[in-house]
Amino acid sequence: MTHSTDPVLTITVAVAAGGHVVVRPAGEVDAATAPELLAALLGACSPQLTVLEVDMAGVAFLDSAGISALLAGRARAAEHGARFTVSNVQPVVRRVLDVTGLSETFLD
Amino acid sequence: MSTEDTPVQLTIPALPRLLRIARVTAASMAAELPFTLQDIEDLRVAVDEVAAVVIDGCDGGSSLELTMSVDGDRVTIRGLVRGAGELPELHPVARDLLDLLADSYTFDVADGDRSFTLTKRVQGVEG
Repeated sequence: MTHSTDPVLTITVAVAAGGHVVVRPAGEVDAATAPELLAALLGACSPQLTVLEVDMAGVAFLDSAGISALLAGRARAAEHGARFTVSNVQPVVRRVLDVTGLSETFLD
Repeated sequence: MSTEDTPVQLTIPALPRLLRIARVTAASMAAELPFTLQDIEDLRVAVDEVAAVVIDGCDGGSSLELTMSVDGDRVTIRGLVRGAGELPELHPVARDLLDLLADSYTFDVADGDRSFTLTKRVQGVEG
């Protein structure tokens, strides 16, 4: 399922067995596109959700707006009793998570 | 003639979706100096954060006026949005990023015009 067709950011959502949902943004997550990521994360939350995974392999840029979207998604997943995790981060994204002290919060 | 002689001036609509133009231009300016790739990525994030603050709440009718220059061991980027009014509060995550990724940054409001100044120095250079 594709959520966004913005040329700067595309988002696909895959629902696996057992309530594991994988959100895959690809592109740049900034003040313009973070609302789309947030919408996808919130839309992925349901009573059946057990794990909300954000696969960041395709994300080449992340700023504070994107981090805020991740934090909000994590909070909503927690409301459903689900685990939230961020996977496959590129070095530039890892750097942003590291300097904000959020690597341990998001990464397994 | 280098950018040390002639600053690069760029005016774009004050819209979030165009911040990537500021990021790309800042990275190109940084390439004038012996920055590491990480330094350049840090500058991309930093200019994105400061520019996002000064365009916050603006519509397409406002412009972000950017002046980027290379001076010795540093890139200095100044941004101005005329008539935008009071600055929004800086998000704590944005503050963390700027504190760690930029060498210095300031925001100002004068006569309703929002502005910022951001500098990034080549690491390991004294003075």
